[in-house]
Amino acid sequence: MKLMIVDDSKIIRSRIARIMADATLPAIEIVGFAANGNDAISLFKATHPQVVTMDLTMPEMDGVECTTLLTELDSNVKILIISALSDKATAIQALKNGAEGFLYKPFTDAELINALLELIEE
Amino acid sequence: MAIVDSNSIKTPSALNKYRGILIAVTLFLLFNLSVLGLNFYTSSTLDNDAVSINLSGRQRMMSQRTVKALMTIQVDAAQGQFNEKNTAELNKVTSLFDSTLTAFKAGGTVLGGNVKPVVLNQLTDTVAIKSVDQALQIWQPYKKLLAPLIVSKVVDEYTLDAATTYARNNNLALLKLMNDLTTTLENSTKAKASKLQLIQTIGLILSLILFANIVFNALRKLRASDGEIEKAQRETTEILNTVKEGLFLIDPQFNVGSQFSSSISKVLQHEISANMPFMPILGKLVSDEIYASAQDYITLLFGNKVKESLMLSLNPLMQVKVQANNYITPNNLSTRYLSFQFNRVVEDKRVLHLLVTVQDVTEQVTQAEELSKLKGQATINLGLLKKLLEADLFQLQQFLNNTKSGLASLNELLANADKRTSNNEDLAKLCFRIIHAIKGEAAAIGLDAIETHAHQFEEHLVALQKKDQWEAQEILSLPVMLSAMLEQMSQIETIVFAMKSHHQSISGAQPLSVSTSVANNLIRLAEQVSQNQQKNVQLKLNLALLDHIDSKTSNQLQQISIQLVRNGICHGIETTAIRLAKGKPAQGEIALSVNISPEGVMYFVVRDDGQGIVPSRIRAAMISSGRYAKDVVNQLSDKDIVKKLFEPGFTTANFADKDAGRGVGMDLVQSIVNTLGGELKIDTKPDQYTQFTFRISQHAAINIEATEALV
Repeated sequence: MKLMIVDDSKIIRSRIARIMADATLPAIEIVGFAANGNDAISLFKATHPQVVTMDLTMPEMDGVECTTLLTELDSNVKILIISALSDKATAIQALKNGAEGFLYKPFTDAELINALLELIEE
Repeated sequence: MAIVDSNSIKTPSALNKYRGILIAVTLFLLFNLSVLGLNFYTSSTLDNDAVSINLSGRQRMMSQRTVKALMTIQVDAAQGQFNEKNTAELNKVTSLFDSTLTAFKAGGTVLGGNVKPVVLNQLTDTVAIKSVDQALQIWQPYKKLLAPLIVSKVVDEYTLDAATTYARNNNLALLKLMNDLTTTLENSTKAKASKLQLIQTIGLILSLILFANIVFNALRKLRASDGEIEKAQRETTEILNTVKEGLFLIDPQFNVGSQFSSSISKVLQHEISANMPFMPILGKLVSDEIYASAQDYITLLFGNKVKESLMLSLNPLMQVKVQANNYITPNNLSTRYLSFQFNRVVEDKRVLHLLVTVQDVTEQVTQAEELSKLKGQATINLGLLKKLLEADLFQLQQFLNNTKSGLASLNELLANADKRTSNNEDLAKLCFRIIHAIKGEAAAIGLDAIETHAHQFEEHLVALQKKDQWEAQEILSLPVMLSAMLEQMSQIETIVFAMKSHHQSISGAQPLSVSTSVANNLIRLAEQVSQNQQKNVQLKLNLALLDHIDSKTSNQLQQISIQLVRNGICHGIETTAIRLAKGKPAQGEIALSVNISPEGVMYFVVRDDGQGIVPSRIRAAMISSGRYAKDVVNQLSDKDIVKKLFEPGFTTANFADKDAGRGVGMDLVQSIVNTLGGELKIDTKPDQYTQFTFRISQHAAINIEATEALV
């Protein structure tokens, strides 16, 4: 299963990548990273990932808009929203627009893996 | 939070529920079918019986037609005639009679009345068989005698005569037998018919009983299940009426369900009715932003795409501040906090309803806020401690003294405020001056908390100054603010005191001097006793000379001091109320001092500004205590009364407590004075003071002198 990581923070991007590497989930393969919504759309068209981790607050195009566009491109894509506690309302927006999972920042390794597994299992 | 799953409530399957009724109905139908079958069978045999009766009746007729045909042939023969018609008739009736009789005996097909063949069953009735057998015995020879008459046209006289003779002799018997057969068959049929009637009657009765049973059972079951439904409904209603939370369901159109807890209207402060749209109610309670978020959230919950456990933490209404017009007491806008929780009610993976639980969490939220405020205060105190540790100890002490006296003056001013309401402006100015000084000093040392308090006080005063008339409530608020400052000051004082001791012990400075140690002890004692006695007493100490006398004497003086301070507080100093009534300062004072005259005589003076020693009062107390006889007491002189004070065990108290009442204090003082070889003088003035003066010089005799004031 192909995974794309969308987050404007390099630290979060590499953290997710490291968790994925440590967890040795053979089913998940990272196909790319995007730092904003626009990059995410281009990367998505090029790599066709089935799973996306999505930050909400990003420059240029935010997570809600990006989620909407990605779902329009592929209605089967599984999107995991990763947001701060204060972003509750935005997270609800993203879920309404097609995302199916979410995770609060800060998160532990296990929390991220569980959230991804739950998303894939559905 | 558990998913509310309607599947979990098991209903018995329809087959199970109605099994009894189904069995009863099946039995009923089977029974009716068997009765019907029996009926059918019996009726069909009755049909056969009718044929038999009919044919046996015909046999009677045939026997007579045979005789008639025979007689006709004989009459014709006597006239020498021959009529073929008669022979044919004879042939027809004999053959019909014969075939029918044979069929009665063995069963078979015969021609019926309408010349159509009918099946005749073999007879089973023994009486009928017997009749047939007897008839056959008569018929067989009869048939043989008749046979030549049918075949030949030429009838000889002998044959004809033999036949007619046989006929004449046997005709009646044969007729009777055929008649018997008919009667027997008719009776048998009648019996069958009545049997059928009986079966039908019994069947009908049984089927009626069965039917009644079914109806009764069905009704009983229906009533039982109705009862269960009613009970369940009653329980639901009871729960909904009792539960403190607002409970209701909303459907996918966001309408409120038909059942909801009675507390819901109170919690939401909105009248709720069935099928009412929920969102407008919410709209009146929360901000537009939260409303929009809640709408999305509820839509998502009905969508069932995102797991409920995930949804839970996203709930924008988990704790929401609502500002609603109180519908019970209108126009009373109150801020409350509500908590809405949503649970999916799922059936076949479809979200049918959301169960909404609403709680008023105002109290919890307020408590949490207070707790966090307290935490804030704790950090302020830590900050205060830091400031105090940084400050100069001497400066701090000075600030403490100045501020305390300033606050005391303020307190006094405010306590008397109502007396001066005509001169509010002056009062405010006076207060302002004091508080401003405190503010300045606090700022100089860096005590922010005190400075803030003082500043607030100042602002309040400024606000008051602008008003012509002070409201009672506004004046009352000043002492409240003052008490907050006093509390803070007492904290600072405690810390400064601890710092001072610490400072002394770590700096390796001289150990506490005798005078300081005695002073500390007396202060502590005075605080304790005055607190116990609920009196307000201040010690004024001048004991520096104690450092310069021998330790034995100073120790004895401390002992005396302890007794006299205790006595002074318990018996001398009046309560604040009494003192104020007498026009004295609220706070009582006990002064202790040690002086040495140029001649080297030491004077130890203990003076309180209490009620004084008044012999008449002591007399009254002695009598009312019940320990002393009235006559004896009245005979004592004033001097004797005062002397009594120093007698061991003398007390006027009705019961002893920690501080006084055991009657040992003055006795102890007396004994110490004796040991020291000193002189004790008591000066007293009613309602003004009592002064004990110890004059200590070697070999001096103890002498108690009462002053003129006493006498």
